[in-house]
Amino acid sequence: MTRGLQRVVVTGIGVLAPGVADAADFEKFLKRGQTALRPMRGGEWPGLPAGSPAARLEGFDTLARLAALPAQARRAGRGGSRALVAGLATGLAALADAGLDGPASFGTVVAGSNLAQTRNLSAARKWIEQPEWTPPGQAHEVFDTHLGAVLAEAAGLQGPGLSVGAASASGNTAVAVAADLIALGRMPGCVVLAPPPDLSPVEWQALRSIGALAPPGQACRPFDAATAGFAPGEACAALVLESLDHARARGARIRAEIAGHGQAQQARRGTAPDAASALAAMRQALAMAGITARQLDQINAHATGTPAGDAAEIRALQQLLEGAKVPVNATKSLTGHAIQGAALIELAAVILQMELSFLHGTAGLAAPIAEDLRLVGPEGIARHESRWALSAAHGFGGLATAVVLRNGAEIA
Amino acid sequence: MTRDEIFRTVVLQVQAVLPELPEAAITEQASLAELGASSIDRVEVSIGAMEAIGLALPLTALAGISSIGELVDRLAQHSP
Repeated sequence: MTRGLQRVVVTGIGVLAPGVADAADFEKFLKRGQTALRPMRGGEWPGLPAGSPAARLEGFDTLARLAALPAQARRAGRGGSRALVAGLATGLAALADAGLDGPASFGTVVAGSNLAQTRNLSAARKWIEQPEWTPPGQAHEVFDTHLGAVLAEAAGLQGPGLSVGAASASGNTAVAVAADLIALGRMPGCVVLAPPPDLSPVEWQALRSIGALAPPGQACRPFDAATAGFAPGEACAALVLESLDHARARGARIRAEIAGHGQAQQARRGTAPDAASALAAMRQALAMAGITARQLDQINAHATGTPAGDAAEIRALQQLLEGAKVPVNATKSLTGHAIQGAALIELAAVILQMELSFLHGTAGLAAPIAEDLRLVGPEGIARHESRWALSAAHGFGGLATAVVLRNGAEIA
Repeated sequence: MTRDEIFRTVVLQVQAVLPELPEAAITEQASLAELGASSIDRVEVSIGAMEAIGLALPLTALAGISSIGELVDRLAQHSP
């Protein structure tokens, strides 16, 4: 017999970003509104030429970070790459923020696939040098289960374990699938996580070749006429999702409700952006939440800073809002683009902005490409109440997604 | 490479795979499984040691080993 759908809420947030060690730091970072993007030194981020705008986790020491974790997590993460250890630490931080310790019935939902390309390249190099010296860990670490399994072992999570990929929209899609599973009663809650981007020089070169990355000496400025492409950001986030009933039963702090989500495809492979799918995804998410676009109090745009992508998203927002002056900001202007985990960072940013009643600035926005939308400038909005927010994310492969969040303070 | 050098190489590989193990526990008599190494951890140790020594043996050459000392013996047989 059906027992109705559970409502799904966010009860824990973990964030790791340049200059940001946890969710409390992230609040301050968003309020400050100063971009973490800066020109990379040569070799600072393998695959990015000197002068490329990017945001790197400075001073992140993989072995020291692993050594600072509890014993069970240290064992689970042994031998882990920089990105894996960062992702593990962030997932554990989200559980701690939620006040959970070893929730055995919880699941792990990893956002994205191909999350360890640097490690893959070094294994391939070893194979070319001498096939017998191929790292044997590659046999299991290459699969999409690995990061989730490491977090599950570290925290003792025995519920469902899955990966949900949608390129740069993976965070939103993973939250959508996780929320649906919780709503159906398949699990009481889970951690949704992604590591920081771990693309190798191979992928960065290919992204440069297609003109997606902001070239050395040029700017990534989402929604600004001068933007020249996206800028990588080495950042990640994790969210604890939980049924409202489970959260209430344990007296958890309810940060936000996952009120709606939408997914649409262009039915076209490749990288070209598109307004129609973006609009369809946003409308689906609003319909599921049972609100209109005019009821939104803020929109966190995908806004990577590629001229074509920003322009298509502006067209979708113009059609969605029909003149309504809902403020729109772009977290990637501050953090850079964290690829598979970007949408998780943006959901975390939206929740913190709703809780603290402000809107962060869109760094570098001097010459907006649209005058008829309320694009939030670099200074942000110091006082802004939000009951409802929408966060958009798009991915290669013609994917568009949106998640509608309801302020946790609104949940009676 | 002398047998003692090979032993020290294996110890370094064990420490790399199991960083929390006290060095004193890594003896000739100890078994990697008893020290807490999984089957993949044990292969990591063998392959890491082969690479450090400059050997490219098929793993069948290291079959049936139960202690660190036996691994050192087997590697020493093939060592250049």
